[in-house]
Amino acid sequence: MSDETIHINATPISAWRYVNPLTSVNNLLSYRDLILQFTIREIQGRYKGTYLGIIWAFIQPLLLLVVYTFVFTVVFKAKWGVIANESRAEYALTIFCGMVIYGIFSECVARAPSLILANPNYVKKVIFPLEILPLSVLGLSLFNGAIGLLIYQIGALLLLFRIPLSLLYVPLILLPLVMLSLGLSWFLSALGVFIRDIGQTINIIITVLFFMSPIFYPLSRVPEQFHIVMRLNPLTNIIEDAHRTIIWGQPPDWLWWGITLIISYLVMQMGYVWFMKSKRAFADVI
Amino acid sequence: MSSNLAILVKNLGKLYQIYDKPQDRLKQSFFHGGKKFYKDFWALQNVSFSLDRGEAIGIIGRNGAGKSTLLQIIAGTLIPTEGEVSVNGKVAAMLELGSGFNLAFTGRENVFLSGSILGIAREEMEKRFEEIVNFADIWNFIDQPVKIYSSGMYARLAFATAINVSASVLIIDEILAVGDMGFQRKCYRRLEELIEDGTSILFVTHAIGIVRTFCSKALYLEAGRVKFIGSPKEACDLYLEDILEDNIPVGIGSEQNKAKPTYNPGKNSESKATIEKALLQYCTRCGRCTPFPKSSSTSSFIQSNGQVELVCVKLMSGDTEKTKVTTGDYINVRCRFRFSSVIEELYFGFLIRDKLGQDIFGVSKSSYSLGLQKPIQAGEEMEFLVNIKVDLRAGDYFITLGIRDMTFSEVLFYGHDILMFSVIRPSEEDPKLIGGIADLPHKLTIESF
Repeated sequence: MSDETIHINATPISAWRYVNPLTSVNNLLSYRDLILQFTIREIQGRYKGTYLGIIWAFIQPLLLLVVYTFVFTVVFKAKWGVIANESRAEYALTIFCGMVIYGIFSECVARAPSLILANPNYVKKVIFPLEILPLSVLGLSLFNGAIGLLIYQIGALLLLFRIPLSLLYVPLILLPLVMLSLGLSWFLSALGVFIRDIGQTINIIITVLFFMSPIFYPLSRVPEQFHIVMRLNPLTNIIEDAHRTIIWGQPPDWLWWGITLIISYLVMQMGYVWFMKSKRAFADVI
Repeated sequence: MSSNLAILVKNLGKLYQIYDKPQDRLKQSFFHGGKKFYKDFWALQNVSFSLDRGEAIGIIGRNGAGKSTLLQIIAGTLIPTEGEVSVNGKVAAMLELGSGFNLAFTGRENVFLSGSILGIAREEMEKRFEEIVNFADIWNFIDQPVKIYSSGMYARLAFATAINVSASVLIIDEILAVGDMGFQRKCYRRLEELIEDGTSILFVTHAIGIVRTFCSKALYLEAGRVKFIGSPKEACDLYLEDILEDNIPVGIGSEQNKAKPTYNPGKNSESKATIEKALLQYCTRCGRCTPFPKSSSTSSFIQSNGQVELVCVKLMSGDTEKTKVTTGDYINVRCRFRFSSVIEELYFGFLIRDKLGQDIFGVSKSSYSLGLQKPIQAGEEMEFLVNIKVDLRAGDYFITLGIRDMTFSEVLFYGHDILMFSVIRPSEEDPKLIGGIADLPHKLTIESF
């Protein structure tokens, strides 16, 4: 029996307590079993009861890739125009790659505002580490992202006949993406408890960001004076790096990678502090 | 904190801000510290108590007294507005059975999920798994999704899981009413074992008998404040008395709207005022008799055609008025009626029912056979006296009275459930060992040959 004494009182907990990355990581790691179970639950929950089960996770991206390839290779004959001697299917595959990366982000952020609201039992009826809920959604979106990238690689092998070695950089370019998604998830899921309108707003923002990120076009096509605005969106750098490493066999743009990493880390840190501070008031509002 | 202390609650208070309209909440967030758009509601105030290891405390009180709020704060799901709670060791809270369960997943998956919510490693949970399923007795269904479980099975599994996570403090909010009798007994036996092993238990319940027999301490909350803390018997007696005074019978009508705090502190005093009026209306003689008024929260009502009026009705034991009697006692029910017209001969009826409305015992006699061999005159008053030995099982009972005109076979007066009394067993005996309706004088012995 543990003899740890827990004190519950009205004194607000200092934000500094959550700033130390070591203690935060320790706190989250102590729930790794739970995070894993909830991630599996998220994944299973989506396909449970269907006849095809997990196969559905592959069908949707596969179908998308087929449709893009047809539309942009056969119908539009569009060119991305960044590297020389571009193959015909390159444009479709590039869009697909960007959408997979964007999907990881948008899935987390779209779910966040309703995440806590959808689980009132975990707020009021059991003592539950609510901060792991965004992590389980992140787990789900990374799982879907991995399937997306796998399908991309199959497509790239069949249509472009290549798998670049620079794929090894992928975990590195995903690092800021994971931090950014997680930080915003923490922030929005806590805010969504107090302001229900967040859920409506976020869908609009996700659509806007989709077009404001270099998914359909390379950053180089954007007039120079807008570059700085585009770069303010961390997703721009992440998606550009994804194109470089996954498709073109180039290393990431290290300068912008570093800047994005710092911004994403700050977003994550602030999101975590915000969540942990406001968590105490959830039960009063839900 | 001393090592033997499990819970220490100091001056705990929880304030809710009650907004009339949702817009007011928004307005308030813009006027920090300025105008107040809300009303203060203290769900709890100035609550202090301590609980040692291996002690069980029963928390009683009317609906909305703050019992569940208190448990939620101790469990850590609610943050208090003032005061402090210190808890030694791990807390397992059953604020609602199986609330951590996911319906789409199997019993097995849910057991492990509950375990990891409480921070128990998977390997540790695997060791306990067999014991949990044995206790819940649902081996046949453990790999089925819990949504197909009967509510009893669901509750059994949830309870079995919660008591097998070796928490040092167990919080139980009014949930043991589920499950059949056998399972309930099993639960209490297990809880007794846990207490012996040093687990502390907090109970919220309306089952007074359980507090009396099971807990070593009781806390009686009224409108968010501690009304009494100490011996379970005294707390329960006080609580029962208060309930009877309010004429809200235990367990009738009031269960549906449980646990929600009533955001209306004025309500209690208001209902008291109407009760007083009702009493005056019924009793012009003693000024203090105990009939129920007609109120939505009770099943009682009076019908009369105007020829007969109930003047005073009392339930006595010996010379004192009582609402609580011990099994085997004699009670006297005195009821006095005033007649406003001449009645040749009448029939008086007396009936005891239990709280489910079952007839337990009834008796009726004509005035002639009672020895009144002349007509009753207008303006006369008559008192009927019923003397019965209460060989009844512990519980709440209601008395119904009726008067019928023999000549015209017409009902002159009918008072439905107008008196309530509680039967308790002598405290040294366990009321749960008695089954059925009656509690007949008996002896049970064993002999070996």
